[in-house]
Amino acid sequence: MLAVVVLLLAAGCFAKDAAAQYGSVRGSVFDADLRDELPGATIILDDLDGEKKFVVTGTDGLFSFHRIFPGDYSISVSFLGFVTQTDSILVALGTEIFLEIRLDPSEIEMEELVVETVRTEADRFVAGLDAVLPEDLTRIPMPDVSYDLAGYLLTLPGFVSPGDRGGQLFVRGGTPTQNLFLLDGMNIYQPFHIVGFFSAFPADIVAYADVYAGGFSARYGGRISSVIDISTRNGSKRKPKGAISIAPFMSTLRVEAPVIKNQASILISVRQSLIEYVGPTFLGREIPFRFSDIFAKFHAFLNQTSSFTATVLRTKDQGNISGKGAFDENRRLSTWENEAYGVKYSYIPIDYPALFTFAVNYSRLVSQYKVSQTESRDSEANGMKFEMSFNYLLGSNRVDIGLFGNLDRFHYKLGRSARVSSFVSSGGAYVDTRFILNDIIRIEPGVRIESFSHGVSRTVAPRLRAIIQPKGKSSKHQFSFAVGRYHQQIIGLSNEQDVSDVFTIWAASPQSRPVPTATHYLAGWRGRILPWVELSIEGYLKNMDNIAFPVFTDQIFGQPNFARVSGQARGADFKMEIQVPDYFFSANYTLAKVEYFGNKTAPQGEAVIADDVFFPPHDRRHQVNVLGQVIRGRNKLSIRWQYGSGLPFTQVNGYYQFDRIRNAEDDSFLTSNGAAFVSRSSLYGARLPAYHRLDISYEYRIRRGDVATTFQIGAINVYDRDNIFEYNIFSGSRVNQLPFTPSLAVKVEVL
Amino acid sequence: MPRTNILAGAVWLFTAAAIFAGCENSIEPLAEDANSFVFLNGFLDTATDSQFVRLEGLRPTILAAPRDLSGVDVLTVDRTSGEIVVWKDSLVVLKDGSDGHLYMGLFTPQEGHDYEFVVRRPGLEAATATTTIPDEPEIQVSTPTGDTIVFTQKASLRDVFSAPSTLAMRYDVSIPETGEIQTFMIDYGIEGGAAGTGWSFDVFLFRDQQIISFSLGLPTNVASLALRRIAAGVVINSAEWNRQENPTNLALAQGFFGSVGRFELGWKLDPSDVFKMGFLDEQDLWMGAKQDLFRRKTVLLAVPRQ
Repeated sequence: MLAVVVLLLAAGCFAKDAAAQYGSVRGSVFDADLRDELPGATIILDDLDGEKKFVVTGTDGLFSFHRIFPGDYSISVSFLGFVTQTDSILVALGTEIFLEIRLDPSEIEMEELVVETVRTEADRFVAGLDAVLPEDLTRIPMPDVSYDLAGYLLTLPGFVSPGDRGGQLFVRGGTPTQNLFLLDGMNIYQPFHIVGFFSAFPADIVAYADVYAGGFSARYGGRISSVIDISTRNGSKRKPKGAISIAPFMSTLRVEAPVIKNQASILISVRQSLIEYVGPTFLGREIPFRFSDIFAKFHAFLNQTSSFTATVLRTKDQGNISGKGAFDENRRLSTWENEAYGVKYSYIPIDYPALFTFAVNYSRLVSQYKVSQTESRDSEANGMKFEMSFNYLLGSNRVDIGLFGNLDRFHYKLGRSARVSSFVSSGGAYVDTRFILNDIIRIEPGVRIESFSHGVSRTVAPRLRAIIQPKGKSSKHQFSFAVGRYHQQIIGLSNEQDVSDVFTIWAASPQSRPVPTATHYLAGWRGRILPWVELSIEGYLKNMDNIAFPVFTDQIFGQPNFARVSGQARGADFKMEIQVPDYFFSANYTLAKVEYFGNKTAPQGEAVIADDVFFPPHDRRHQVNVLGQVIRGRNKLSIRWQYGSGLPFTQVNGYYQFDRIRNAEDDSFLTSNGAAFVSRSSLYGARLPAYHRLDISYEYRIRRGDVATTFQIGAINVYDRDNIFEYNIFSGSRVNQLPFTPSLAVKVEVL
Repeated sequence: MPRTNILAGAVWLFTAAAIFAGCENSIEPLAEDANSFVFLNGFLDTATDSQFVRLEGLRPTILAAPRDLSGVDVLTVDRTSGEIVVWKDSLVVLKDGSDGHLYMGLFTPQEGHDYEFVVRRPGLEAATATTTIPDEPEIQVSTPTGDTIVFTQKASLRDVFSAPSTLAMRYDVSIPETGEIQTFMIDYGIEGGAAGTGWSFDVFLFRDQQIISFSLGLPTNVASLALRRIAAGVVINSAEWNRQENPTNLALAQGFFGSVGRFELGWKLDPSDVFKMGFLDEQDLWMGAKQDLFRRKTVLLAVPRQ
């Protein structure tokens, strides 16, 4: 508690008289030849100290940056088919600069190939979407100076994680296997590391991420809950760059360099955990987790019209999920390894405003949960994906057409039971469009048609999103709506009765049965009540059918079956964001409810859940995230507090030994002991204690020429809250999440 | 002064956050009414006057001893007749050497009656289990068909729609030379299937005669035995047997509680059919009542509690 006050007081020391001393930059962008306005041109304003702002010109070719702190800036303007212009400007106190920028058409401007998504101000506010930029990731206090997308995702409203280990993520009622994680188009099955602050997506490689908590467009499929689509940046094509960081949890090496100057580059990121080794010395206790990842990306302009990208990702996690004692290979050892390989070819016709992309990706996950020396559970998922897309720009409107095919192979083996294999395929097409009807209304209708080898033969999934700005571009209020239908042929079976269990069986949906399906409805409002205060509210409703839910026998250690249930998730996210120079503050609150409905009857081989309604173990009703950041010169202080109401769990009545009576002539039950059984109380009828935690980090950054060094000190769980991670009802043992954990990190970057 | 306001707001929020440090943080793994639960295992049997049920308290953890059931009253209530029977506790040595509690109720359950098994303890809600003793089914037989090789008769157990746990044919035959009457039981397994009015099965008259004659070392092609009686032996389980995984008849109890009805369902064959199956006909000489060949052996494992 004292530490909190001291740090908060320290934060106050950075505050000075914050009079509104701003300038502004406005302008218009024209085609230098035709003198036409250029809607959709990207303008980046760089304060030369790493802070970038960007906007996109509207239909009239105009743009503006407001409340710009006085100083020197670099401004860069780019647009598909034109030569990028870069210049420096000085923004003086209280002045408004108006720039008239004329872009010269280029025969081919290949750098635009990397800009595959043009985002306008309205794009920032789309129901269900959180558009994440790398600088967003660095706002989250982490025990690592390199930052990671995982830390950010856990601050988003509606994103529920049962704890800081194991990396399970539930998004607005959806389970981990209903979330689609894409890294440059490659599907990553289990992207979180065993320490949940970390994922396969370090901030250093992220260009941007589109995080859809629902209502995603027709170009995405195969999952029914959410999409986290991460685009990585290309390595530098001009000069070698790199970074190295050392931190107790994760240490990083990043190297990027031109392979052929200005034409081809490579980016390599290698991360390795150290916590297993430094834990006993640094923290005074064993932390039996090992995790690592390696990412490599090669990007090249093949000629003036096409580019090629090859991406590789490998991750490895291993640890005793209970987190107690030294690393032990024979006691509740969880292991998982992701592999993903992808290639992408992009082509821009010389005389046509379109982009053609062809991509092939292969992903694999091998996971094992070793219960004891002799018993283990194994699962393997392999997926091959082909996708061909055509993106047409029709003025400010856009039409995307895609063809895709998926081949998936799964194996799993539970204990001594036989290995089960399945193979499925799917294929189809989508049309995703964007029409800007006028300054007020933009609609994005789309449809995805997909055939599945298992389940129902063909699905048609319409999607629609709409954005309304009642007063056009000057509107302080925006409304956004989304509705869509979603299917997935792949199911994931995890021990949801124990949310801390990270082992998941990936399998095909049963043959000739309906596949899991969801329908999303979202509606949101965003308003800027003051120039520096933004409020937003978003409500959502997800109806889900044919959800696989594990059903455990009362016999202890009996093999679980699964029931096919339906469900509904609904809730509302409230968010406030305050941003002024040097200060950032956001707070969000989620009110949510997830209900599953029992199936009553089941076909042969499936289980029954007799309850009319029950609340699955990821039904978190209340969630609060508060984030504050102060940047003063070389100093940066970040504070985050999270609160989550208790998750449901099933209480027990007790245990008994039971020998089933086989028939009326069998008297052995009178004297036999039988096997151990558990008597469970009402399904998920009780709640675990609430979760809350305060994390703080402080950074000091110095730069000498092209070398920047960042020092970081921080602490996780500042007030040492005993947040529960796992409670074993059989043994009565409780495992808590990380206690108060200080960290010290340093990062050296060659810029 | 937005920045000052922001800072003040942040301090307020983070301080409020820290206050949560003292919140309730314990877990109660056992349900509020866990103490009321008992484990029971057994069934009522119409073929015996001594009923047995294993009964004990649940264990709070896997390795703990069962909760104490001292002061417990165990009884059955015949909801049809109103009769109440108090059960007696006895100790039995289990296979692992530990003691188990076996409760004994001295009565013969009646066909078609509803029984409630009640476990009462002071201060706790009673645990109960219910069962309905299956009714004796009516048997309907058709005229035998076929030749001497495949000579069968269709039989149907009215209103029985799931397989009887035991289905056998009983033949009482006399040996003319000695006048001795012997009873033969031929197990039919789960012969038959559910039809419109009930459980339908074929009686293999000629085949069964061949089996009986062969077992006595008599020629199978000469009618040397006389048929005194033909009957189907049927054991029918109560509905609870089909729901052992998800019992619906238990309240504050785990385990199993059900019942069985054991029935002999005889009929008379036409003398020509008796001859056709290979027997002499002495059905008119049958004097006996139902015999208790289906009666299970009385279990004598229990000893009176000291």
